[in-house]
Amino acid sequence: MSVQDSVGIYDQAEFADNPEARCSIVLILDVSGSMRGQKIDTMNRALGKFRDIIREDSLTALRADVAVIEFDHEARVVQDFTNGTDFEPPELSVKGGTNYSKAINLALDITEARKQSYRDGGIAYYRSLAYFLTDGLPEHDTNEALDQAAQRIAAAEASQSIALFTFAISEPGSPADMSALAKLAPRAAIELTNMEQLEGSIEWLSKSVAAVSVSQPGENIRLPQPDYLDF
Amino acid sequence: MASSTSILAGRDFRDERGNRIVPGKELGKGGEGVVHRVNDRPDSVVKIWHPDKVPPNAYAKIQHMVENPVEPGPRETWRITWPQHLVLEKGVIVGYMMPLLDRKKEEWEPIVAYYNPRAARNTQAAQRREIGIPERVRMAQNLALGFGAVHDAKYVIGDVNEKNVEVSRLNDIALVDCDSYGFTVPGANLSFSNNMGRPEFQAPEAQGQAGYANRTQNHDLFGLAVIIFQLLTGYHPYMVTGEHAENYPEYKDRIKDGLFPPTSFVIEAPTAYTESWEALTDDQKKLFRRCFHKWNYHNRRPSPDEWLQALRQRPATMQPDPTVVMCPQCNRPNSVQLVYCETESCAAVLDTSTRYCDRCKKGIPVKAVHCPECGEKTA
Repeated sequence: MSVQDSVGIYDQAEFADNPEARCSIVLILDVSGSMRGQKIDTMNRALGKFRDIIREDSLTALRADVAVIEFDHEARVVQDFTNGTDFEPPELSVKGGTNYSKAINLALDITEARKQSYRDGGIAYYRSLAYFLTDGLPEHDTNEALDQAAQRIAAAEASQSIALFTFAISEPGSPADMSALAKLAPRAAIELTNMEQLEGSIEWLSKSVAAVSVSQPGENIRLPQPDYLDF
Repeated sequence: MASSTSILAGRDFRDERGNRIVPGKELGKGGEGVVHRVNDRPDSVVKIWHPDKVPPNAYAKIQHMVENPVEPGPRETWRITWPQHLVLEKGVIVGYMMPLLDRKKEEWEPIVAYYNPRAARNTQAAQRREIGIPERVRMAQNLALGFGAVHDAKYVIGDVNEKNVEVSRLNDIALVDCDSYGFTVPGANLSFSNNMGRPEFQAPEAQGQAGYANRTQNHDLFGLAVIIFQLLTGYHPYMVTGEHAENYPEYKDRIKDGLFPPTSFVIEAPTAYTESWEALTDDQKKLFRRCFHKWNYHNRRPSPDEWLQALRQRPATMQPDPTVVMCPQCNRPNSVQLVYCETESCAAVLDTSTRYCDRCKKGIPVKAVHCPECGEKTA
């Protein structure tokens, strides 16, 4: 059975084995042709670091469920939700064009399916995190599809069900078009202008996940300050 | 020996009496500071805070703790990493000395490894031995002893959680990170509290506060009950499924609104949770109900002594024994004669109820039974 066939189907036995509350994280990563070279290499390296930071703390690993979606003009689940204790990052390689809405819809779909399985298993859960990274424009999207995806995100954000963070890689000669991302998600998109910042943004994500298993001053989970902006 | 790259190398540390303290090998590094061994003091370590993590009024705080210690006797089954000395640099407090927990020799691990099966598999110490109900009951007893001693000495733990409690290979427990405890210095108009916490262990009245300030020992008793529940059943007490799971995804809201399945007819829990709950003794159930019930929460939380009393008897097992049935009237276990399907070719086990309780002699209602396999009605 390929990954796609079993996407969104979760065995309840995993919750008897680990009944800790969960934070689901979905990484939505651009693998369009323009990501070739340094960018995709950095991303793959950063994913390895992401795994290491999640595993550094045994409780964080037990509480994190990680999925990876890659997108070009299509969107594919390359890693369905896997507990942090088992998560191994897939090796990504570049492919075709760019379509945002398919990737966003797929991410919201699997996150919803995952949460349904938590409810069935009696597992408590925190707000989901989503990390969206692109270096291009959604040339394969229709305006209508983008609007619909934007509405779904707005609703999920308003109900505190998900927090979506969008990042765009800018390079000399091909600056990111931040306006496309501004329309997509209510949270302001962040521009990454070099490879250190790209790596830093994924490191920040892993530290945000760790926030669910450390003591906090009050009940609301606080995400760490994004120090990748200080490079 | 401290390596030359250590941030502690070459610095002059003294205790409150002026005795030199020479940090040795680094044992750990965290958000708050670093922990090092101490040369010539094999049973102690020093914790040196990061400069921006020194607690407010640290000198007065640690001094009071050193002078008013919580100390287990040599034969006790709980430990605590209580401050033994101040660590001063040019007269300014930078940390404190505390007893070493020898993680290698005594195999200390955070308590989560002893009730979460996956965590246990990933933890060498937990893997090396059988952890059953008797071991978990021992841990719960030791935890109650530790909490009792801290409370007797008038301290508040505050940030009760599954990382601040560790377990050794002998099932002894250790309370760690004591510099965050709260207390009042009598006569000095000085009080310490901390506002850190994890929502899963905080009492209903603390939920929803901007910070967890002004917590009392009564709050600690809620966290104690949560950990004991997890040890005895394997689950968080507020594990719910069905409709309520949708409206209350997080523990903080479930705790606030008292969604404790055993005290409600409408709140559903996973089957495995219910089975583990049923295996608890009456006394244990009573204490948990008192602590977690929506209407009873404020001043009736079980004390450490009450837990010690209720933990004298072990829960049946994690899984209810299929040859024993509890009388619904008097709750006494009855040995059972199995009832089989009368269809000869089937003979499946139908119901494990007895008709009458051995002790109270009351009839036990037996549901009209259809054989689940062949459909034959037998009652």
